[in-house]
Amino acid sequence: MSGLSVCLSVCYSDDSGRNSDNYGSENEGEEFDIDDTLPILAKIQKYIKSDVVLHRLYVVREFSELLKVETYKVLDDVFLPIVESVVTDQEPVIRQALVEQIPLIAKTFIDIGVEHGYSKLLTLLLPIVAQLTTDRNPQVRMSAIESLQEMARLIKHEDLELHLIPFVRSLVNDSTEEEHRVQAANLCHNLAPIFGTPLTQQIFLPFVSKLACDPSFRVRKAIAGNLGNICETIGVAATTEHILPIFVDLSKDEIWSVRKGCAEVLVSVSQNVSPIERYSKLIQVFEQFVVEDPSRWVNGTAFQNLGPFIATFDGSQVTPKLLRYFTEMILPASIRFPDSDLVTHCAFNFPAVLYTVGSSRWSELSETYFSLVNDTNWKVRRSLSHSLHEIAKILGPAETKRSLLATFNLFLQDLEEVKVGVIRHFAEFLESIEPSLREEYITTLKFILDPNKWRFRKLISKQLGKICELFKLETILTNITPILIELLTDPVSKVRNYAASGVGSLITKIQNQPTKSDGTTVDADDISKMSDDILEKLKSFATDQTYASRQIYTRICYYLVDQIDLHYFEAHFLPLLLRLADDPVPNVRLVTAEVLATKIATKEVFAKNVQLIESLEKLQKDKDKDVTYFGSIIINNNKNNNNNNNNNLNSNITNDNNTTNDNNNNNNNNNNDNNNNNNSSADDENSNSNSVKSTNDTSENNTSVENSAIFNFQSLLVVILLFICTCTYIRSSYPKLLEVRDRHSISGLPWKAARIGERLSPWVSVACIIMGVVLLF
Amino acid sequence: MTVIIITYRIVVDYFKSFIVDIKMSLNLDHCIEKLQKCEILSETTVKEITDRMKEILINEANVQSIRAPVTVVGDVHGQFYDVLEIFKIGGKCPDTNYLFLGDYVDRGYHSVETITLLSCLKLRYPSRVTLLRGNHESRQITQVYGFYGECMRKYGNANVWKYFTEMFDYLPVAAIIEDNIYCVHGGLSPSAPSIDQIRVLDRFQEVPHEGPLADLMWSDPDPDRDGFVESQRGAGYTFGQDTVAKFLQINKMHHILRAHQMCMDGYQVLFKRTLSTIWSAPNYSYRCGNMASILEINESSEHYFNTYSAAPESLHNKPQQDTTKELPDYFL
Repeated sequence: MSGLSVCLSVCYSDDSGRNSDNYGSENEGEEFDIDDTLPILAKIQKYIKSDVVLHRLYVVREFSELLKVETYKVLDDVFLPIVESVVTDQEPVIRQALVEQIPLIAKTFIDIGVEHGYSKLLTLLLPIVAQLTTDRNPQVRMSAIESLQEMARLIKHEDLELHLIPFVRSLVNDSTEEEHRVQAANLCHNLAPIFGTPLTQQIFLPFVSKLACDPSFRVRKAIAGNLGNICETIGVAATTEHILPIFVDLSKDEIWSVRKGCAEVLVSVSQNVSPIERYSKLIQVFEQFVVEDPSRWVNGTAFQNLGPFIATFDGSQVTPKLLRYFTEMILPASIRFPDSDLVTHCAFNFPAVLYTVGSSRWSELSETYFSLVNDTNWKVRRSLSHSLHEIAKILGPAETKRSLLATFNLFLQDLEEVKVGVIRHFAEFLESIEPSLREEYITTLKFILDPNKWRFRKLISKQLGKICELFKLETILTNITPILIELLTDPVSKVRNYAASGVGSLITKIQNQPTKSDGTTVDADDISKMSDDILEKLKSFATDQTYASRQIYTRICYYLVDQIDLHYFEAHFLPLLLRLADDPVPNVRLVTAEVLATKIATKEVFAKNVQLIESLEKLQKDKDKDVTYFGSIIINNNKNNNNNNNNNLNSNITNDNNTTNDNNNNNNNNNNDNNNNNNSSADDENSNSNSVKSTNDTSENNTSVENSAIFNFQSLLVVILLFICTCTYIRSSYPKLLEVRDRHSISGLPWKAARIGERLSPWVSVACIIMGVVLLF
Repeated sequence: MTVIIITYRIVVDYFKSFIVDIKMSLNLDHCIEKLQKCEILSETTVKEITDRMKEILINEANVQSIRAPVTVVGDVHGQFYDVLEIFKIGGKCPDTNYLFLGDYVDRGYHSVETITLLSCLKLRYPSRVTLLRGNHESRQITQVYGFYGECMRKYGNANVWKYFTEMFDYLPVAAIIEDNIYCVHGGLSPSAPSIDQIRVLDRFQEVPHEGPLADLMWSDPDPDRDGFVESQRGAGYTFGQDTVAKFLQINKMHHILRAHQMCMDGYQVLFKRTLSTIWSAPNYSYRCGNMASILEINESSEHYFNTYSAAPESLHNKPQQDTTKELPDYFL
């Protein structure tokens, strides 16, 4: 069953007919087979000239594999001519595949060919991509522009001017082919951020001015739509001086698609002009688009961008009239080209607009807001539901109580897609209402925790810490902690884990409770009793009979070390955690090991805790391999990254040894640094597995063989050489020392070495010199 | 002088490549991370994964022995986002031990990602994950139900399919949890009434059309008829309550756990609680609207069926084309 080796879903051809037979003749399947036994270079050489398009496509896509295995010389001598030959391939799909590969080729050439590779990049690969940016097939052109952008990043800054700009200039000045000038406009936009401010200002600005007056509207449209990056690169002063006049001219263009391009970049331009010009000129441009422009596309695009456009202003500059455009765009009666999408845009941009103009102008916007809240389209309500807490923050508690509480309650009853927004920001919304009002929402909280909707429970779990901060201790103890305990024993693992992050703020709250009992002693006693109960309850997780609960205890500790007083933690929570190092279930020991190694042992406070060190050592010698792995984890240090990348490449699952001496030494030296440098991202439960590595000092399979001089050939040679030299020296000074009865036994080795040193002294010294040179560099 | 340096370099390079060959292997953590974003691995990586899987699996017994706690997962059928959901609900690997009862591929849109991810997890944590063979882990079935077509679409050739189906021949066929729960993909076989007979089967082959190996992966329980009756499926048998009772008695087991049949609630307990079916593909084939479940067995052997519905991502990430229409034009 050798199998069909090439299958392609999309093929397109600009000279269809001639090759069409080769795409899918089902009878002669054998012809399609690619001989997989050939080495990759041979495969490419064999099939690159094949008549079957699929063959050529297959091998072009194999280029990246070739780059991984071949030496630079082969790539330069054999492979580059192949690349050059493919450029003129008849099939656009091949040319496109090629141009997509070239940045990777270029990168490999720089990596392994250094200077010479770089010169090939400039003289050969760059022109190929440049040539393909003006290919007759639009898809090839698009891919080529992307590739050119990637190539420009690889090119040294000083070479850009010499190698890339002349090409762009030739496109700009190409008066015969309008498509070339369109591509030039695209390139200006795409390359500007890479070229940097001075070059863009010097070189591209004149291009922009020239292209903006182009007789072809397609070119003007391209330049209008592509002003964004250029404005951002050259900054406020230059944009105001040079781009703004061009933009204003283009916005009055007779062709609607050019004006639409202007409407699209209105925001980018607005962000980069001085406030005065923005106020005096751009509002005018906008009004002209929405009031006078006969094209509904220009009109619609302008309205779509109105929200972000307003957000570029200083709040006081926003005229009531401009704001009215925003509020009226959802009223079908008041605009010329009603469009239901505009309602979505309005809802989406509402928070930014309100934020820009400030709560003082809420009266101008509130009516719009409530009509959006009651919109029939759930997508509109979903956006508002997600942003409700932001609106509440801007408006402040009083106005929130007056206007938004009803909306909040409404959204909580809405469709799931809408409800999720207010649930996700539940705590933040509660924060922006008066404390007295918050208590009512505890019942709401219980109602959100639907046993069938674990994602809602997860969202609340994540916010538990924050929710605890919002209430009085008494309320927390009577109402929130039952929820917390429930979520900590939730059937869904994610919910439990997130709930563990909320324990910290509960304990902080309990600790900060003022101990003085002024009059209401009974209450205070109650509270302290309840506090003790909840602490006991939390600790009981460590001795619970289900392993999942004991794992959750380690999770709680994982968060607690960053959340509460460490001495308190050491006294109350750590001893139970350490007991889990002896847990009968390996999965519990495994998470315990992970938490101890990555979170607890890294704290300086615990450096002298003997029990901790003992537990960790025990875990590192655990009979379960996974436990030892997690017990030996050390958190990554940034400056150590390169080193670890190497290490990761070479580590495998059975024994995560380090490859070389150097690595190992480095790691050990850096352990202390690493330990101090731990980051505590509280809500990212995967952070460990991504940023850790393992040392292997204790793992059972640790083979120091590989780290010994025997496996490092260089070191072995050094040892042999020095041995020879030493023996020779000893023999010349104290010949008797090396005299043994049997010169051919092991004890005769020093004598033999000395003899080699005497007889081959020139060679030995040469070898010593080479060794010295090699070791030096 | 130069000659010496060059020879020296060659010798050193030779030794280096020798060492690198030993050490240079895949970074599984990397692979797992990539797969969790639903990105496929390269063909060569897949080759290496399946080769290493075979090395591990060849040492496993036909009937694997497993300790509690363990979470048992039924058919997943390439519903990749629902597999990710399993790890969210049951706990990530290695925090939780997993026993998969087979049928990882076919029907869903992401068979390749699913089986690659499970293989990587098995390689990374060999003692935390157990993979059994299901009736879909076979060359013939995967050619018809989608895995073959998916490999062709995603890799442009059938190599990956070839690697995986070769690996499937090495998967163990049954497992026993804490010496009293017998786990298998399909069910019982009339030709292998005792587990010891299953232990000595030659499992390293394509799933046959008949015989004990086929029965283990194809059979279904039948609450209405006692004894073994040939199955409607075309392979395997249906077996009644009496056969289950007899099997449990002969082998001193307490319970049979199997997958293979869709249940609307995600699980079904039959025969006076001596046999359970677990189904872990919610909204099977993206249209059945069923629930799914995983069975959590804790260290005191208490059972809990953790049920869940389809992950929201599962439907959103449908590929544009209909998978069935994208099958290759012919097959050699």
